[in-house]
Amino acid sequence: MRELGQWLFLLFVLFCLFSCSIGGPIVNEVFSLDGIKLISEGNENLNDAGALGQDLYEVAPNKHLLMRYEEMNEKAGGFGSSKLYLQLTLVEENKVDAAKGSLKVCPVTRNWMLLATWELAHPFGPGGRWENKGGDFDAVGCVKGKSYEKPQTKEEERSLWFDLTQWFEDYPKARSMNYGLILLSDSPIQILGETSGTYSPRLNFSS
Amino acid sequence: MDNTERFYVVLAMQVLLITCLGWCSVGALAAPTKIVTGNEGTDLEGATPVKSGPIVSTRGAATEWLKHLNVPGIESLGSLLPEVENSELYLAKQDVQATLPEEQGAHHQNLSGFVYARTLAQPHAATRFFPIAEKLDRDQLVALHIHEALHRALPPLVRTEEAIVVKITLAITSPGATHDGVRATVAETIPQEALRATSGMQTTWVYEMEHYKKPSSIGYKLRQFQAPNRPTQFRVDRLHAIHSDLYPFGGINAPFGMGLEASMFNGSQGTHVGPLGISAKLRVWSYRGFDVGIWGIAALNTLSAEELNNSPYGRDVYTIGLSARKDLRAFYIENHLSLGFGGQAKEKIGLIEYKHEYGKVINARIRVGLKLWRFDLGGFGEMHLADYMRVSGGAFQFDSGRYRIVSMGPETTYVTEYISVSFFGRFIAGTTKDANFDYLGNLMGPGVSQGEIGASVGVFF
Repeated sequence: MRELGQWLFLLFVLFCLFSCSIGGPIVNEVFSLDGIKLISEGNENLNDAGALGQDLYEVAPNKHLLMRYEEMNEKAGGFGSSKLYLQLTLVEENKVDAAKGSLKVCPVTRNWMLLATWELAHPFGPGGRWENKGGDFDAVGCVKGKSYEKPQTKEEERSLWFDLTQWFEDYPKARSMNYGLILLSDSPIQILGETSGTYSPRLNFSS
Repeated sequence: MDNTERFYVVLAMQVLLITCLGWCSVGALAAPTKIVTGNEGTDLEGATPVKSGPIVSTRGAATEWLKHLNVPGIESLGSLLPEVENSELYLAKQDVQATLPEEQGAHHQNLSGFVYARTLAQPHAATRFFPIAEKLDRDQLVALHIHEALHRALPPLVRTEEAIVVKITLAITSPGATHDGVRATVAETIPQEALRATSGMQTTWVYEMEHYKKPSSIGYKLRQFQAPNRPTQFRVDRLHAIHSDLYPFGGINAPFGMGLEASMFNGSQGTHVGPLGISAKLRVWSYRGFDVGIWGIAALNTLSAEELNNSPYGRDVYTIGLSARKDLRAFYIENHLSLGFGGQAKEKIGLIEYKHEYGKVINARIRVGLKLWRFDLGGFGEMHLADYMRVSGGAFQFDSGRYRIVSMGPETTYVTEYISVSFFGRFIAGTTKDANFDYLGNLMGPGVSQGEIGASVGVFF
């Protein structure tokens, strides 16, 4: 009987492992954000080369950072009930606590493209103008960042993660709307940009 | 000699005298007989049709000269060219003296009083040349053809007025003759009552003037675009274009040819090579006096600078069109209808590649203006009706839907037979969907932004 029970337990464990490895939710999938644009008050240059494709961005009260993973809608269905986190890495180590109090990530509520500016979400038609200069966003859905409890590397020591699970549920999954996110700050904070190899702004899906 | 012998001698002399008197009276009866047609009749014997020689060849030269002066476009001379071209030519076998009143001018007789040529002063009559005319040189024969044809082509009230015919002949055949000069001479020599008398007449020949005497051209155009009224990602300030249109094929009034147009543009990206335009054009022309043309143009952006290829304008644009123009004495009017085919351009911004899709565009334009001396002063109004303008890339999508752009502008052109200089402008009068010319994505066509001003110069040949 004991041997039978051991065999049944072993079969159960094997069954769980097997069923989890096919058709189940994706674990720890990471996607680097590919649509990033810094919009600054007073700068209406659509082609400002310093506003995208940079290794660092300074976010401030008059500088907001638009962020989006462009293929979110194509991937949304495959993540089931995963949790979604945004990871941002600061440039300066001693700004982590200040960043936790200053930075917040909010859902954008108007579609935009990489020609966006402080006044325009896009340059086509009257619908391209932000209703509110600096970007239209849902203030209720804003989240603040948290630091890692057990950082594994020096970069993780100055990284913050933002829980975007609710945003993911409310927008890409529920409405197929992927207007991205906007990073706001009460004080000047520098973060690593998309050209950084390992610590570019990224999304982490985990179960 | 006895009496019998004397009798026979006297008898023979009487018979001889009577016979001589009889011959003389017959000759007198046969000399100048009045003919009902009005000719003296002495020159009718032996006239044969002329098929070759200087008389025929100079008729061809006279025809070309009249075409060169565009004489059919002058009031009262509309049938001169067909009269020269189609009159039957005869050559009499002997010269005659000028005896008719209308032959007393230098165009009809030489210093010895022999007649060069005769014709009846009515349309379609034949022209009779006399042997003395073959001694004239080429220019004199050309003038003779034209002079005789004028007797048939001018209004009835003046076609027998030698002074008028001579004046017009000289105006046409003088070395520095011009269309305007001939027109002025006709206007001042032919009385108004003669012109009014012909207003209701019709001739059996209707000769259409050669519309496209010099259809080929080369030229340069400068287009200065307006500053955009909104931020734009690819600003084009100015476009320079040179073109060469050659018409080696087709007939006199239906030339067919091809054109090339190369361009350069200045803008936010610096100065770069623009699209290359390749066109095929056919001038179709009708008897009702309309100039009708059809054409096709390919503006190839693939041959442009890399900066333009990576922009909303980096696509090949294909357009076909139809135009109809009516030129009257004091003004012109032209209708233009074209279809621009859709296409797309790709633009990489950061890590995202955006696709600009353009729907087909129907363009309708009307041009009108006054013709004052060598100036065409007018303007145009046009409408572009487009299916859509779409932009998509990553998670971003924009679709304008169907939209229209209404624009207008002035045009001033100085044009002669050989050159043209023009100034023009284009301004948006109204749009839907907040569109401007950027939405059309056709840099060499309607251009960009809110409109433009420009100038061009061309040489015809």
